Amino acid sequence: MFLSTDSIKNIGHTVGVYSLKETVAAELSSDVEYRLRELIQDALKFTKHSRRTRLTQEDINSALDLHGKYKILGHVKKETPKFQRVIGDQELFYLDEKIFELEEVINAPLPLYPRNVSFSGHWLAVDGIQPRTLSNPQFQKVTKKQKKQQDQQQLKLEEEETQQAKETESIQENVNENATGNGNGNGNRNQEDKQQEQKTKQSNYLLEDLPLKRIRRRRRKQQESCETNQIELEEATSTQQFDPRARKNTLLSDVNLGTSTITAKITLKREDGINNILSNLNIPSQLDLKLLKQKVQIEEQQQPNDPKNKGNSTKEKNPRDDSKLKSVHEEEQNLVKMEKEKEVVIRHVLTQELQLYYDQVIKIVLTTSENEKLEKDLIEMEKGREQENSYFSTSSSSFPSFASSSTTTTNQFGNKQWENKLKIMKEKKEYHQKCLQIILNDLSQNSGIIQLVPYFIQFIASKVRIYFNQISQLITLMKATEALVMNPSIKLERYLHQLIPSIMTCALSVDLERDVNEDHWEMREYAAQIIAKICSKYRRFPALQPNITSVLVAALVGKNKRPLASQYGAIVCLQALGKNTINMLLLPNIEELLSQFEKIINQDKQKQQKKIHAIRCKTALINAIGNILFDQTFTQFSSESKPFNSLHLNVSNLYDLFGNRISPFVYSDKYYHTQSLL
Amino acid sequence: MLNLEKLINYRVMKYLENNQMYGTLNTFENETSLTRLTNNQRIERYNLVELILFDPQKLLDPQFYFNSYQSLKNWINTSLKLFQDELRVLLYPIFLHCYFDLIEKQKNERALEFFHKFKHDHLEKFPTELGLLQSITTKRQMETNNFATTTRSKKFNIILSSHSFELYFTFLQEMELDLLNKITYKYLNIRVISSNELRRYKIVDDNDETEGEKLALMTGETFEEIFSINSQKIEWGLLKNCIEDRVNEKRERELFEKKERILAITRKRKRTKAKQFVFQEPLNRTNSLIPAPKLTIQENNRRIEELSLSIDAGENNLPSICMFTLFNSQNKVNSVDISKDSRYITIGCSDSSVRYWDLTKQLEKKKSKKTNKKPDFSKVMHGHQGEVYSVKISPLNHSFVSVSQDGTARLWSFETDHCLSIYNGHNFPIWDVDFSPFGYYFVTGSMDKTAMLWSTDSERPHRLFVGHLSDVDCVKFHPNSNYVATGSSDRTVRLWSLSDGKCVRIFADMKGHKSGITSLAFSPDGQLLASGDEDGVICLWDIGKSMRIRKFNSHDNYITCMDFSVLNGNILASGSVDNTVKIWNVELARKNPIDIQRSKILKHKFQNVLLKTFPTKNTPVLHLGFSMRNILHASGVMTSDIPNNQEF
Repeated sequence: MFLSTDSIKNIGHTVGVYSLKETVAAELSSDVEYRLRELIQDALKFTKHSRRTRLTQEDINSALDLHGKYKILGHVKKETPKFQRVIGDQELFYLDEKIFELEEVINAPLPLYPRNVSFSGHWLAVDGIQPRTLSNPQFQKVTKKQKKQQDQQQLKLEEEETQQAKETESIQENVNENATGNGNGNGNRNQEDKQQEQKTKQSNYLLEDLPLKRIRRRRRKQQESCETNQIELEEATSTQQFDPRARKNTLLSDVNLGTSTITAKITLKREDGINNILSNLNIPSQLDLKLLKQKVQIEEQQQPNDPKNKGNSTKEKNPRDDSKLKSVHEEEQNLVKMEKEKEVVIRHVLTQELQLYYDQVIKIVLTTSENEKLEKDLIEMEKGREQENSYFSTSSSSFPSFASSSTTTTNQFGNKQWENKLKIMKEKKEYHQKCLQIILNDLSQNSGIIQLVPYFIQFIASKVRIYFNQISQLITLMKATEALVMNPSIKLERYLHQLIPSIMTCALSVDLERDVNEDHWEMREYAAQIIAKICSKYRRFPALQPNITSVLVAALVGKNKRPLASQYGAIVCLQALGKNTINMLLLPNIEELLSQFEKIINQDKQKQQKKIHAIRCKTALINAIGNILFDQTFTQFSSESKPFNSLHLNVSNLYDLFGNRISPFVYSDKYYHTQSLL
Repeated sequence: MLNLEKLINYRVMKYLENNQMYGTLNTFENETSLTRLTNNQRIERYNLVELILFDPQKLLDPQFYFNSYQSLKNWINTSLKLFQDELRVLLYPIFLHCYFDLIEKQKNERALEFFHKFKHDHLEKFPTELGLLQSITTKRQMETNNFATTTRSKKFNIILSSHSFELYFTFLQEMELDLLNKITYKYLNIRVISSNELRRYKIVDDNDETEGEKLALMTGETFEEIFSINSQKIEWGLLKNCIEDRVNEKRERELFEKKERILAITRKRKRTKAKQFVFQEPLNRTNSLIPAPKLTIQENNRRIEELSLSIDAGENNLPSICMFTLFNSQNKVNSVDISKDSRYITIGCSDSSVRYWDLTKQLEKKKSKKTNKKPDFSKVMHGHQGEVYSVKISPLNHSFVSVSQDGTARLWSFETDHCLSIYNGHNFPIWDVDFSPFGYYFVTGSMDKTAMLWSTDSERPHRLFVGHLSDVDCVKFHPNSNYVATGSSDRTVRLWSLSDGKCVRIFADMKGHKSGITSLAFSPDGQLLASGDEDGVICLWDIGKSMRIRKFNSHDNYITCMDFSVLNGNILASGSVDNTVKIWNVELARKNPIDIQRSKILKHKFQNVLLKTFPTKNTPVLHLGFSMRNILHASGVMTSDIPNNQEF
């Protein structure tokens, strides 16, 4: 039954019939159901003849009209009307309809005149072939299944490649042995083995999803040329029988023969594992390698300058082997390349403009480190010059008549050069600063770079790892990150897991302190601010901030406590994350931390650098505590606002710990009050 | 409740009375101590034969319905595989009538229980019917409901082989299932055929890739009637001196002359006489059975010229498709038609307007002004009072006709942009309209289960075609204009003769359509009729032999339009709401499966009947039509909606 007797009674209420008997209601409900079904059946006919697949309100109206009933009149909304549950009643629903003032409706500006029906013509097929134009659908859609398969294939490829890297090495040894040891190649055996190998090659080809026919044709041609070359080779070997080196040279020079002879020779020694080796060495898998290389290139595009990938692709192929095989199957590889390039196009749909934009941004962001290097060089040059100067000055004093003229010239010359360089350097730096500012501005506002976001994230993640010691470069990177985070049109939800670790490294890393000259403190504060910004922007992920804070607290206290510099970063981060965080996480640990810092400061044996660090940490801690202390003291005595709910804050306790250093943070009016407490 | 014995006694008395055997009657009266009934006392409430045959007490017990249906189902499921398919057909009608019986006896709750217990047997095959059935829950509703009354008044037609029929009857007798006996006797029309005949049916069925299950069909006629109707002779050939013949003649003459020219060189030496070219008209050419104005000579010549320019479409020579996509329709375009010479495009809208574009004017404008702005020459004409469901351009190209929800058809002129006349006749919405290939006549199919024949110059219909049990959803003129085909929601296609308005063919096959017919098309030689249904199945019928020769099954949603290629009709194009245009190989399908069976070629199972599928871009196809030059015009409405399937 559609309608319960209760709902019938309810409907009765709305019409003014208050006492409906149960039996009458039941009778009515069955009748209503029948009528409704009938109505819908008829309405469906109208839908069908309107060539639609969805039933609309108009169809129901048509059906009502057909039965001689009044149509349902009123505003026709575009959205389907929603039924809403009556509050307090489980089974009562009502239509959520607005009541309009008639005047409002009349006086409202007229809606835009709907566009007129228009048409356009195009060829759906020309002589039975569907042209690939925009007006025709693209029917090569990648389904989920295919994607999965592709992924699996990629995995396999990678596995094969690593295996191959191992195999090729061992094969190489064998080849060398064979080439020297079995100088006079056994023609018959060679041929047999070669045939066998050809077969395996072909069978392997069947496994590939390549245009088989074309490749087979090419293969046949090669086979033929192989055979002719074989004859030539035999002739050659007959003359140069006892010169293994010459034999080897022919092998190397004879491009077409390369693989087959090498593999054939391996069969002599390692017949057991032959299939395995062949499958790894012969062409299809070599093609795989090629494919993989291209894939790596693609990945490089995706995550530019990832050093790992580059290393893989260059290291794992044996250069000598590869050069031979490469030339043998260049044509085929080209073929595959073409095939593969198509795929590449499908994968990345980045416009050229975007690519240019990306390149430009990366270039400018990275020039910071270059500038830095140059600057360093200059500084060293200066140092060197000074040393030279001093040397010459000392020498000139001993041989005044001899060297005076020469030193002055060199000095002048060096000065000029250095000044010029410095000038250029300054200009460069200024220009770069300007560029950087423009780019950062754009990154924080441009809404068109959404497609580039994954690339940027990859870029940042990889660069943070590389430019670990160059603080200024890291700062520019962090600036870029901040710009991305601040961009309102970019949603970073999917990349947070990549982004946050790199920011955290900047904030907490130990190694940052190696270079004393660099101001890594500023760097850490900057990173802390970015983390705070991310946390506030993605507040709707409840697990985000706790995850971050748990890492921070772990770095600060407990067993896995990090060095002082990291602790400083953690404190700064916690402070940036807000008063609540300080209150909940920093305050409970404050005594422990303070005692640790005091200990280091007061010990005479400690290094000066460590002491400085500890002092830094202490001031940071005081700053953080001061932040909430002010609020607390302020709210304590202003009755209007709610008192700040602090769990562990006790002013007198803090005074015990820090002494007068926190007094600036206490609300000034009550300064005396707090003093009197003491 | 009358006693059975008493009833029989009354009957005997009536018999005696009717035969004026008053002596016997008196003694009978004395012995049975019964008085004669007066005239107004009636005992006809119960059919006597029924009462004699079946125990009325048993029939009243609702549990009996459950038991008998269940036992029949069990018996069929355990019977031999060979007969299962045939016997299973019986289940649906018996299920239906059991339900109706229960409701008639006002056991409503038991009826519902019965419905829900056994509905799964039929839900797959008859979803719409079961929906209708479910809505009927009281006796009063049953009396007023359209579906119920037709099922109760008409009989199901079922074909059984003699053997399975025997099996069925012995089963009924052994089990003493009087109820089933009654339903079989009252509501089923079983035709028992010999094994030879059955084999013939089987051959036809075997050619389908999809071995469909048989369904019980209801047409309103008994088997004998259908047989007599379908065995009538039909002049399905084209008219004498038709355009197609003229074109063929022209082509053959050209070929002949070419040959002659080559031969002439050799003939000069031999000095033999040149042969005269004689065109042999095919034998099956007929005369027009209805009076109709003839085409003007100019029009005739124009058509011949156009047709002779056409390229034959075939398996190896697929046609080009020109697609006209309508934009900004806002769900209001119901129907599209493009004229054969692709000059006009007309659309019927749900806002009760009709619009058309004149493409030639548009071209002129574009050439002359060269403005970037797209000229929009759509003429909007109002007149209907309801949604317009179909529009059709007259083959004479000066007017078009539209049919609407308000039950009227209107004729509109391209020249004056005005309504020329209104045709009032149907009481319910009209679904479809089609023009005769020579203009003048048109036919409409309506929700009131009838189709009507009109001429453009008369306000009243000339013929009324009555016979369908449900809405007439589509209509189509035969190429020789002597017949009209109608397709209906009752899953049948009928062919009507225009000369006497009688039904001459009923295309109803137990393995044919399983849902309502939505589209029809005749092959240009008039021999074949294609019908598409709501499930996306296309059946190909041979009109002369009145049998189904082929079933195409590839579309996902209902078929909106179909057309055969011009001149040879080797290709059938079908368009559907599933956003595709499909091209079928009729040439292959046309080969008689029985002939193939005899010649034992039939090993390959006609795999390549579907030649090609052309997907459109989110555009349900509303109209397909081959132009005179064999270019396929398609048109559809671009929809931005997500298809329903994805939504749910």
